[in-house]
Amino acid sequence: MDWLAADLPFEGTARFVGMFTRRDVATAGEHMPASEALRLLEAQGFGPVLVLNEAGVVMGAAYRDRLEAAAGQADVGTAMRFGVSTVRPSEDAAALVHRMGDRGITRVVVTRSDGTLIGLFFAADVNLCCPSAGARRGHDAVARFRIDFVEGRGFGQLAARPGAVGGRAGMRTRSTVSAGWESMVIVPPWRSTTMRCAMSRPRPVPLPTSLVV
Amino acid sequence: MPTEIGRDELRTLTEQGAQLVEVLPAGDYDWAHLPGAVNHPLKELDARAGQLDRSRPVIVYCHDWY
Repeated sequence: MDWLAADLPFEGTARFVGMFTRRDVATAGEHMPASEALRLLEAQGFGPVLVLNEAGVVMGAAYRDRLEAAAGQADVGTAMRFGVSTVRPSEDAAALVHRMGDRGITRVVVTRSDGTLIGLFFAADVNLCCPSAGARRGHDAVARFRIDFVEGRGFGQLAARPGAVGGRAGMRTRSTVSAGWESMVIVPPWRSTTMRCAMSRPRPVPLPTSLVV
Repeated sequence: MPTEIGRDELRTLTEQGAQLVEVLPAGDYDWAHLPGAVNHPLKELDARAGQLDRSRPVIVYCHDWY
């Protein structure tokens, strides 16, 4: 029995993936016309479309480019990618964000242990808030920062609105872009719980549509 | 006698008034625990058992069980 992996409620200070998972994702059966799935994707505003069987188990994912390329009334099943990687809702959110940053991915499918869908986890959805900066700058803070320690190794993530630039000199960062915040994952080893956020005001920068699928 | 139960039975029993006890250390309990659970770390269980209501079932779990 795995209570947390089943996406059941808990109490405590932990920050699990399930807490940040978007539940309102576009889904389809494998026999749905690709054109209909594409319409769902556009209506939802983010994706991919997750292809489920009758039991709600994730069979694959259909991305915009494949759906657009699918001919006429082709089924989603012919356009979907099989065998998507999934995570459990009971994973530590910060640790997952860190791994995603390492691999350059911005989202991952969240399922229960039996493969049934919970939703999509976007690294940028994690509340990456530096308490002091947040208190000083309020909700419109240019940058947010959070540090977590996992198995004795610390790492943090600096997030800024799209267009913001900056970071701390001497710190290796990795940049990813999502629909909300631009994130730079700080690569361990990490020895301190404090850092200075040096982010500039964001300029309006259109998001690459290929990353907003 | 202890009886092994699953998630559904746990929910049913707690709704009926069973007491839920996590026996992991306090730090683990603070990090995450089942809703409504109290913390009686295993090393302190003997000393704290008297705090439990003998008239109601007691569900005990540790890490393997959630």
